[in-house]
Amino acid sequence: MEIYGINMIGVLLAMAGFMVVGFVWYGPLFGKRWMELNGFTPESLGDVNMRVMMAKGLTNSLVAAIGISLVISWKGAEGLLASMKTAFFIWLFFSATTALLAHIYEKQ
Amino acid sequence: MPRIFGHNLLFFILAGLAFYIFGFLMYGVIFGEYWMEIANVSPDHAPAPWKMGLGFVIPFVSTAGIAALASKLGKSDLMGYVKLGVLLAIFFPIMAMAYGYAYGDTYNIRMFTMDSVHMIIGYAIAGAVLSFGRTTAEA
Repeated sequence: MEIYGINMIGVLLAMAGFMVVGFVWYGPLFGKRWMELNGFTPESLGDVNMRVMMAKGLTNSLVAAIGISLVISWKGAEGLLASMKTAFFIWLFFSATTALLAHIYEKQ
Repeated sequence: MPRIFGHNLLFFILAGLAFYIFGFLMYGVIFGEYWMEIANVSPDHAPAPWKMGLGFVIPFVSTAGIAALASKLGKSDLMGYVKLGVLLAIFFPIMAMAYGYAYGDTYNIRMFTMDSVHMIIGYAIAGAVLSFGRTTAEA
């Protein structure tokens, strides 16, 4: 099933992969550290509407996966390594720079 | 004149500079007070000099990304560059910020909206200026 040259099953799998990595990274691996850095406590997280939070996270991952898929399609990148290289440069040029701006100017 | 990803170096520098200046105007001159209020930043907050230097370099890194993709896609017209810039802004910087909005506690909807507008217009401006560098390089 392709839309604008991108395989939607691949996009959904990428979104799921994104979510799993995020879950493992901010949960079992570095969950405590992440809560400490953000000033969260188990009590404060108890007030959070998890369904809304997860819906926002899912939407983000879906849009990002569509974007990466589009760029891979535009570039004509084929194969695992070429696709991973493209995703890395997307992160470097666009996402990492954005996160850095927030760190520099907004004390995040 | 050297080229950066197929673009005239002068226009590449102008594109990065235009992106930076747009941010300066938006967060400083035009909406500076509003931004400090919503971001809870005090007027005497000044990032370290090395951070300010990094803040100056960042628009050029993003501009290089736009240039690389535009070159790969064979873009040559102004609107093509602007559209590419806007699409990239929506898919990547805005999604990166949206994570902070989704999972963070301090990044509110007003900051997210303001930063998103900055990215969309900034990327569009960088793309627009770059398009002239492409034309010049091909001439």
